[in-house]
Amino acid sequence: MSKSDDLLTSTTAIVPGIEELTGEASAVKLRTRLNLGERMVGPVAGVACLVVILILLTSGSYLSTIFEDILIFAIAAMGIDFLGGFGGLITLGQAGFLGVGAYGVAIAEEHGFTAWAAIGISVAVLLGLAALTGVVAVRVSGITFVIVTLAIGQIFWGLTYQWTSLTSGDNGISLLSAPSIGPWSLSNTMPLWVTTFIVFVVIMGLLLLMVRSPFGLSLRGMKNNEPRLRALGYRTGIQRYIGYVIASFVAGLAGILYIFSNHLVSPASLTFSQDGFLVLMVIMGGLGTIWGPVIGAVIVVMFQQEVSTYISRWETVMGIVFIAAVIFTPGGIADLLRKGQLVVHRLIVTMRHDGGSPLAVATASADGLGGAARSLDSDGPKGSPPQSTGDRPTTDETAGRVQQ
Amino acid sequence: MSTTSTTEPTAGAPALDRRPPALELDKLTCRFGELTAVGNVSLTVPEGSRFGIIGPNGAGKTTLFNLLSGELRPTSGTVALFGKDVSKLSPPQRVQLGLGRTFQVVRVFNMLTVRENLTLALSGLSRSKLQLFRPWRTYRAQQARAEELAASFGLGDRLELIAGELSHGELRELEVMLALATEPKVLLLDEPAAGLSPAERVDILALLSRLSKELTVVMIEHDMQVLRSAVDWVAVLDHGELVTQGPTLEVQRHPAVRELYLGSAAHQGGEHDGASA
Ligand SMILES: Nc1ncnc2c1ncn2[C@@H]1O[C@H](COP(=O)(O)OP(=O)(O)O)[C@@H](O)[C@H]1O
Ligand SMILES: [Mg+2]
Repeated sequence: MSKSDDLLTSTTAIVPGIEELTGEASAVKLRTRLNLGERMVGPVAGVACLVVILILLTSGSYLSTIFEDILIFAIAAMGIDFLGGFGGLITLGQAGFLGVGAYGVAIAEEHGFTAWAAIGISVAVLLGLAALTGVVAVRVSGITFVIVTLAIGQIFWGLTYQWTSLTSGDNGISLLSAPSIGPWSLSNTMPLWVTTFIVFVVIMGLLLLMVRSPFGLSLRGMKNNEPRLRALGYRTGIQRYIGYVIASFVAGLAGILYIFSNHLVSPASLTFSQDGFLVLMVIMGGLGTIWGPVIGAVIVVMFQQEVSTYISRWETVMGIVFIAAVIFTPGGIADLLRKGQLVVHRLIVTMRHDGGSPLAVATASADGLGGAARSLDSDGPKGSPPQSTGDRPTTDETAGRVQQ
Repeated sequence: MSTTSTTEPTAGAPALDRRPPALELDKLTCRFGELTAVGNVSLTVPEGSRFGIIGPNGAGKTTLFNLLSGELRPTSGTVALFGKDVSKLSPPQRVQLGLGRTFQVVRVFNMLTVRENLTLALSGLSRSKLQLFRPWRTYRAQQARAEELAASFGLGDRLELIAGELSHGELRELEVMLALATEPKVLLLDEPAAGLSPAERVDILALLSRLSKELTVVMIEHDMQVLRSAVDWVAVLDHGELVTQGPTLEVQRHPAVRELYLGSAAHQGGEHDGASA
């Protein structure tokens, strides 16, 4: 039923008339068309990846290191986006879990385990720590959640710094060996790169699947209106807990890849500024998209690697870029891309109906921008509930919060 | 305060008193600092009844609902749902036991589409809500149910619209739909007709009259016309206390109610001529 409905609306969306630019009908179609736009993302990303692989095949290991970094941080950032962009809970302690994943492997190897066993141990430790800290983290929401997750990350950082018998403190630990299957060894550039890429694609696919699942929908409901979700029978603590464990585990997996790419992990990888960079990738790229943070990772890592060789105060530059990004594109680059796509689409449509005057084109695209911003900004100005006509509209809202 | 002596003027319990109680409120009290929003209210709502709650603005009606649904914890007193004390349970736990509610200030998922709103509500009590690896759109039976529900409220063509873009009347209907989707046994409606045009009022009344007879409905409502057609028993609150209760027509004629209620109605423009019935 719903599938044929979709099909119907999308065909009308491809050949729409000008009249659809007004009224509610346009809102319906606008949305359908954006879904179409979203469907384009996969192929576009695939082509981009092919290009990247071709570049890599013909280039030295310096570039491939940058691309590994991008993919690794993008994995962690996508995890943050899963919980933050969809569930409305921003975690600021994910560098801590990235560190746990990396240290887990390095420490286990130092204690005589093989690389494969070390990965297994690291995964187990990750799950355990995510499950444990989750119990604390999900008791709070909003800004308190941010602070609690930051504290958790900082505890991990403190441990790596102070528990010197286990972590060698400031010096960090070097990787002893990388896993291999026959000739395919992660100590070689190409296999490592391809493996990282495969893990990246799999995680991205799983996260994209999960945000479309009933659980993903409940995360979005939680972000939009948690009291209402509770009034529909959802014990939202469970939603938060699962989301937190998934995001933390994903960051830890990135950490496992990180140690094989970087060969060394030290407390510097778990610092607050690392947390900041991860969140920066998500916000710059676009919250609530999963793929947006990948673009954010490209930009941030490029900045770290490239700009730092020319400008010594590159972190200041990064900060300025960040503030500009938040002010001018609150929806991130993903949102910019979608708006751009919409404008182009409108232009094509108007030109096809060639009766359209330049003025109509201009108003059409302006309308498109407004509409896109409205229906896509996950926390735009429409965040407040619709006006009430009852007595004292605030009463109900405050009442809802008392018990939380 | 002076009128509290007439707490139980007539039969003492609703006409359907042979049915077992769906809700029992025992000396329910809720204070906000100095203010007693709900004071010592004891009520019994029998299964399958249509129960109205009226009272001037600030009487504590919404607070009473918040106590019933678990949004607020009582300062003292208890709430029992089908004989089970639920006073200490959270809102989602009470939903699991068959309690559904709407909010006076519309609370829908205004960033999500109508379809997504309904899907969330329909999954609320199903196990699939924690399913991670299957798109929610592929739950065919559930989607069919969402479409059917929307169609029955005349919103079949609004499914793909972001809820925030609905008209006020449609939002009110969606609010009721969300509560109904959880298939409650007791439904609490907080001013479902507030801010609606007369035509929309007729619509929502028609909808309410089509609800299953098994369903227990408690409704806060100002409009006497709506009350007369939708409920058969009315409890009157003022300053958090139960003033009186009884069959709708009797309560309308009650002198304390006329003083309280028509007094405040007159201020609002005198459109409620409840006495003429
Ligand atoms: N969460 C709260 N905190 C403090 N005071 C409240 C709260 N909720 C309601 N009140 C007060 O309790 C009284 C009853 O409010 P309410 O239950 O909303 O009345 P009604 O729904 O009958 O109009 C009002 O005086 C209101 O200001
Ligand atoms: Mg109220």
